[in-house]
Amino acid sequence: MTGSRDPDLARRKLTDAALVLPVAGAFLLMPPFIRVFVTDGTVAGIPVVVVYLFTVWFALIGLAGWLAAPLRRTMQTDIPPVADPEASDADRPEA
Amino acid sequence: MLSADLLLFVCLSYVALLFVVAFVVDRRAQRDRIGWLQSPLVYTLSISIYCTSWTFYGAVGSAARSGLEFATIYLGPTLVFVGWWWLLRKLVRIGRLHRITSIADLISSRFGKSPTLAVFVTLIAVIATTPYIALQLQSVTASFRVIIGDADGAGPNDAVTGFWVAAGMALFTILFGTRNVTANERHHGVVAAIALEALVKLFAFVAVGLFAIYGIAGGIPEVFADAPPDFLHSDDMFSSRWVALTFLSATAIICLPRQFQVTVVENVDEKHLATASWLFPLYLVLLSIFVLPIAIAGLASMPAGSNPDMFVLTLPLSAGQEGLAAFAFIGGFSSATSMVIVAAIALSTMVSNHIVMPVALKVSQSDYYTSGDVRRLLLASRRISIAVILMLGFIYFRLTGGSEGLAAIGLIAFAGIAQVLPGALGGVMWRGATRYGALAGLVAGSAAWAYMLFLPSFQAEYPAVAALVESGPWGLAALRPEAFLGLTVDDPLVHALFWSLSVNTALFVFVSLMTRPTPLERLQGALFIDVFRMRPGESPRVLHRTAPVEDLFVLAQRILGAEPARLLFEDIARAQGLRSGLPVADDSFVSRLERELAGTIGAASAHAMVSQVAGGGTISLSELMNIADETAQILEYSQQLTEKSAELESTARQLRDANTKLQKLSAQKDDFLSQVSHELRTPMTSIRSFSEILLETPDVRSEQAQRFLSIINAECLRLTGLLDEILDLSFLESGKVNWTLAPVDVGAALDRALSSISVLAEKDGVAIHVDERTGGTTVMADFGRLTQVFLNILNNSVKYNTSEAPRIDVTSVLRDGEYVLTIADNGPGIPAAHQETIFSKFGRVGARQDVSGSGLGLAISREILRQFNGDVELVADAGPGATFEIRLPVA
Repeated sequence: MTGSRDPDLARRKLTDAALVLPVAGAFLLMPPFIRVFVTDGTVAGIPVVVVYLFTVWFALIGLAGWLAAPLRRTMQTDIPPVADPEASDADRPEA
Repeated sequence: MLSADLLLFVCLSYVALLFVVAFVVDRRAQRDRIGWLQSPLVYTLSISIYCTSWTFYGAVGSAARSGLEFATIYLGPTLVFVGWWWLLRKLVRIGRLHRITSIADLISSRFGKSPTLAVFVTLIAVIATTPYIALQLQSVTASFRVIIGDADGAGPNDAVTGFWVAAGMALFTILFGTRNVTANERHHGVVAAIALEALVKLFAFVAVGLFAIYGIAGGIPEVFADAPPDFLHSDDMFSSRWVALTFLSATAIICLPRQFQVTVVENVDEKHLATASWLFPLYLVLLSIFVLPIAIAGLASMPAGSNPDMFVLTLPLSAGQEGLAAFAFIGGFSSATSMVIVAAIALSTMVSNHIVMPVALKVSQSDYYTSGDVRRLLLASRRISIAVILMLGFIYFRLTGGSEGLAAIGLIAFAGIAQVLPGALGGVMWRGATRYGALAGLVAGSAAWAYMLFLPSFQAEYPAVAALVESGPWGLAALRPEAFLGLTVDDPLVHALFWSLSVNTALFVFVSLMTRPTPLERLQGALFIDVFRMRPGESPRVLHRTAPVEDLFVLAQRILGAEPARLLFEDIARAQGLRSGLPVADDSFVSRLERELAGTIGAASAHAMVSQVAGGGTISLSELMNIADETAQILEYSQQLTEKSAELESTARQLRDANTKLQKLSAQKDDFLSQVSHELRTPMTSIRSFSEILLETPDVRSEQAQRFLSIINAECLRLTGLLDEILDLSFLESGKVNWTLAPVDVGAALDRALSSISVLAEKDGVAIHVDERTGGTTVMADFGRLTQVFLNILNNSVKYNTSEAPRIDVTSVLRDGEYVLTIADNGPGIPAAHQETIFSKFGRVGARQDVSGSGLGLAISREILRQFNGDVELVADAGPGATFEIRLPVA
């Protein structure tokens, strides 16, 4: 947030990404799209659809983990200071 | 096979360990030494009570029967948690700000603190959770039976095992789950025990999974090679049921009372949600990844007809791994107990707050509103509720005992609690939602659920139910529970979910549109929906009511307890800026008190009890509009922007003014410097020229030399005088002067000045007339400086008077508490254009070099007088010549 020239824009992009993530996950894991991977093939002995399912699953977790830290910092600015006075002081946007 | 005694010993030791952990942590919590318990990791682990024994045993069974389908139960929560920014964040914020105690409380509070809604949601929750608790009891008894190798029921009675498990859990929950009455306060002991259980079940399941892969199949590819043909059912897997199940599990993670309890109610820090957003899905995926290998290994290596729900236990048992089997049993036991404990806490809070409290208030109207310890009632009702809920679970378990497929019951429970979703979601997203809409949707949706899903679940035990499912009530085929209106969906669950949620949502929306929200509903709606736009701690002052503060204190004491109530009131009094005593019972205080009480007894009961003391209060419509209206909010926002920009504009203007002033001062300074140089140059020139003559002319006559030297001396004196005056002026202007003003007889100072000037006046033939004099007037001044000022102005009048019969009139009067001295001459006067410049430095009129003097006199005089809080001015057109007026405040 601090490194960007436009913190508002960066913040909006970040929250947009957080909102897109479950939608993308639902698209990838729901029919009809997931049927693309219903084949007889295997990857290292594992059926393709199983590999696909768990790959998307782990990718969602990875992306969520990647977004969590900056989102957490974003939260600090709008959380009531009673919750954590030290943390909210540390990340006040520069005036 | 393990001996029953040994297993019982292990099991009891584990339970004892849980008791000890809970006890120790509770003790430490009392001494505030539980920092690590507030960590996001523990928060995430407590959320993982989602994985019950239904996951631990049932997921494998589901995978063995229908392949990948089990994954939907964990994909839904994964999507909800990675999308936490959408909904969970809002729920947690609302829960923390409004002290929400349960999902029933959330809905009731949103819809105008309606007690009716709270009761309905509580009933649905109890009805949907009871089978779920029964399921846990069943899994514990079944797994116990499996592990001691007692398949035919010869060993200990299921009922006995089930009863003691239920009793033990009730004891644990009552001991550690009802320590405090405030729902938002964490049950530290319980949380610690649950976190431990979460780890145990994860490790146990992963251990069994690894054993299935490497101990039995011998590697990952081999596992899948062993799979029966079409094991995954992947061709018809990704259908409406896949979507419905994912949706259902996503709903469950939000609406299940126990999930709401751990995710929202017991959240201590909103930021923990950020960690849980990926850590909880990671927990789920780690469990899920081993489900397929265990299921396949079970199907491949176990004799045909073995119960796939028990593969987690039978797989290690059949391979002779008794230790692993015992560990797996403990894992399953953990997942069952942790779910039951939290579900019992959540349900007991709902039952005691939304059913027992209102009933107690109604029954003993006069008593409970005004007296009696509410805390004792609450604790007692919670403890009894816990026992009753577990008893209900046990009875359900006995009635349906041993019904097939664990997973089916879990899904039925999910679908039941999903009926809460439209109200909850609509409540925090849609302004137009009303309590009648929520109520109508809830009632219709649950009725549909009960008829289409819950009732048919009994068809195996009751032939009458089976007949009804087969041919519809009274033989009306159109009303068949699993093919309503002839709609045939392959799957009864999808069918029931479709009908119940459609009816629910449609009625919710339709009735909301047809009814008007009460003012309190609108207020609560705005507070919930715009929770991120509210500045924390600033509750809008909408509800106007007050009460004797003593009455409120008594009320708070009865609900919160004496000490917490005292602390709360002290805190509020301090916030109101009072040193001691009770706070002032204003609107915001009453609102805050109600919120605090809601954290203990729920919003509806808190509202009822506070209203009993403070009256219902009036809601100011205009203020409600202020916060309820979206446009008003935007307006307010833009108004703030306008204010900001106006502020900026005025700052800019001030800066511009300051800059102009600075430029002017800089010009004045330049002016002053050039004038000083000019003034200094004149004497310097004459000194130089006379000294040159003396140097270059060897035989100057001595009297001529004497004359030159005296000129040089005079010019030197003039220079020194000039420099002295410049120094004096800069000293005065610097503002560093700090004379101690003393009472001075202004008449005496004038006398001294007049006597000093008289010699010069006589020489120039100027007549000084002293007309009117005030006597004995004192002003606050410095005698010497005051004399200097008078002398200065008199001197000016004498010097510049070119009249033929020069004359000066000196008059002093008292006017409006001021001493006014007028010095008027009959000289040429001062042209209008110069009337103000004469007071500036070197402000001589014209370039009269013939007059001695530095041109600083008037500037110095004015500075001095201003130090005495007086002034000197030129009176315009007062006489033929110049008229100066000196004013000084009388002491």
